[in-house]
Amino acid sequence: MEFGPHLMLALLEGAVTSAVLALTAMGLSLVFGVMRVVNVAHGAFFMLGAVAAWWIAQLVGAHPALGFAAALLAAPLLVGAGAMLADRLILARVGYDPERTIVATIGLMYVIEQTVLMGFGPDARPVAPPFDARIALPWVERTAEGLALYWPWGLSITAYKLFVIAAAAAILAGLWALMTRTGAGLVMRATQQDRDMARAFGVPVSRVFARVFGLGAALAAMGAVLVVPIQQAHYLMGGDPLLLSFIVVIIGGLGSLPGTVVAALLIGMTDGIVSVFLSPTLAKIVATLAVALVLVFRPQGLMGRARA
Amino acid sequence: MLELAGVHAAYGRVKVLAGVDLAARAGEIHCLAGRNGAGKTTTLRAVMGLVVPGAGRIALDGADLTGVPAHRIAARGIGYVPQGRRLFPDMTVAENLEMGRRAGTAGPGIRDRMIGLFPRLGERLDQRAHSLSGGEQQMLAVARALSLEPRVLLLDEPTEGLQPSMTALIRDVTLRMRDAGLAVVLVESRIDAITALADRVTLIDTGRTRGTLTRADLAADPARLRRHLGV
Ligand SMILES: Nc1ncnc2c1ncn2[C@@H]1O[C@H](COP(=O)(O)OP(=O)(O)OP(=O)(O)O)[C@@H](O)[C@H]1O
Ligand SMILES: [Mg+2]
Repeated sequence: MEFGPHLMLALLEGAVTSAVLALTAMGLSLVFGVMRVVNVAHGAFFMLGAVAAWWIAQLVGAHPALGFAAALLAAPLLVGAGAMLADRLILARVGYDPERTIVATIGLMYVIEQTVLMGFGPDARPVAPPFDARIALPWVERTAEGLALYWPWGLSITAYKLFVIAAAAAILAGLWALMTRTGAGLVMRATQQDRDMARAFGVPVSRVFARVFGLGAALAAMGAVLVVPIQQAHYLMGGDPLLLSFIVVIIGGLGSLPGTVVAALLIGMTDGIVSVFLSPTLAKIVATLAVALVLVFRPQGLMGRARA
Repeated sequence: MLELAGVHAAYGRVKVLAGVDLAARAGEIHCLAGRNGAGKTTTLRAVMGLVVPGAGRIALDGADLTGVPAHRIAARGIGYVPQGRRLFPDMTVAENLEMGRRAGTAGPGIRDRMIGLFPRLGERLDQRAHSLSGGEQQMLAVARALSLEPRVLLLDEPTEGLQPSMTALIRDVTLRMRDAGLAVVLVESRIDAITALADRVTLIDTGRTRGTLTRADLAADPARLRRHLGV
């Protein structure tokens, strides 16, 4: 394949990675921003979303599209509800103390992984994509009559991957609308910006925390449901999303939602390009290097505000 | 209307309040005066439920507030203008006002009334609070608290660091709220402001109240307030 079409393929793969990563990292960023705690169990919620998707798809049976649609709706709800329960039972009990929360969520991650291992087993399980069309993509070439479109051999993407990109964009747009256009979003932002003043103006902060923790986990689960038709569900699959989400959140600026999207695009696209042209391992090294550079030269992140 | 009796409070092991008494009445400005660190801000935070009193009673129209969670205090009709303004910095002016409105029972029309009180805010509805000038921020902090249509208004040094014209505006609004029948509790350290505004002054020192003076007391013995504030 020539360079141009090859690059386009890499960018598309990068966009798929970015899309899933943006959803997952957004959950982590939201929880950190509003609650000021680091949720180490975030990857475990991602994994739970994938496993729940497999389980729901099995239950529904019928047409893959039906099973997948049910999973996309129900898995985030289930995982979100579980996370709200964990908030009440664990985080609220340790008073959202930053250090104790880290330890508690490490424990939670372990409990979730082991429980899934016992109930679901160590095997990876696939979920059928809702549709499996492949779309060939055109490229331009110079001919005697000027520029013309042609369809290079090998330049194609599954319709499902395009769907992943569109779905993630739609979910993020929905989240944006929720945060900026609704009362629930206003209250979450108030809690993020000044917890005591939020209380003084009637915000039930502990209830907001439970909802934010649930929403954060649900976002990870949405990312996971989108990914299972490509990657399969496995009880240890949460490690990479957790690490990459941390990288994205650090680069984007802790708690900055637009920063999170920009950083997810940056990391996802780099991953796509470096993986396609060089090697996947090198892609991870580049991401890690990017974090190191950001931490040294712009510790508040690309779009984070320096602490006053 | 708002009554505190023998209120004690601590931050962890540090005791800050050790017996605060205060009775603010409707249609009066009740000043709380004391030196830096006396516990004035902590007293207002205790009313808002942001510090939980270890002992004593806080009541609004006879109803106990001490066990009420912080997020239910505002809805009882208490508007809080904290020291240092404490706006929601990344929210717009309109959103800050909306936070106040939601805390009470006022309809959307309250915003126009606030703009009537502080026209400058009306020109800046979509501007973020952190980018306002100090005076504009203070107007917004007052307007945010008034947006919940409170019966009690708590003001913590609302004119600290403002230029004279802005100070005059805030004082004017404070007087108008008193005349509208609100119980106003005003933490103030400037003697001229206290003498000009206060219907009553409660003196506070190292977390204890040392008596309450009426307007007549103030006129009869102006040196007492001066001595208390150590100026
Ligand atoms: N969060 C806190 N933790 C520990 N101690 C505190 C805290 N906030 C205030 N204090 C202490 O409580 C005491 C009273 O503080 P407070 O802010 O109520 O005083 P104040 O009368 O409002 O003073 P100022 O005139 O300087 O505003 C001070 O000694 C202060 O150091
Ligand atoms: Mg103070």
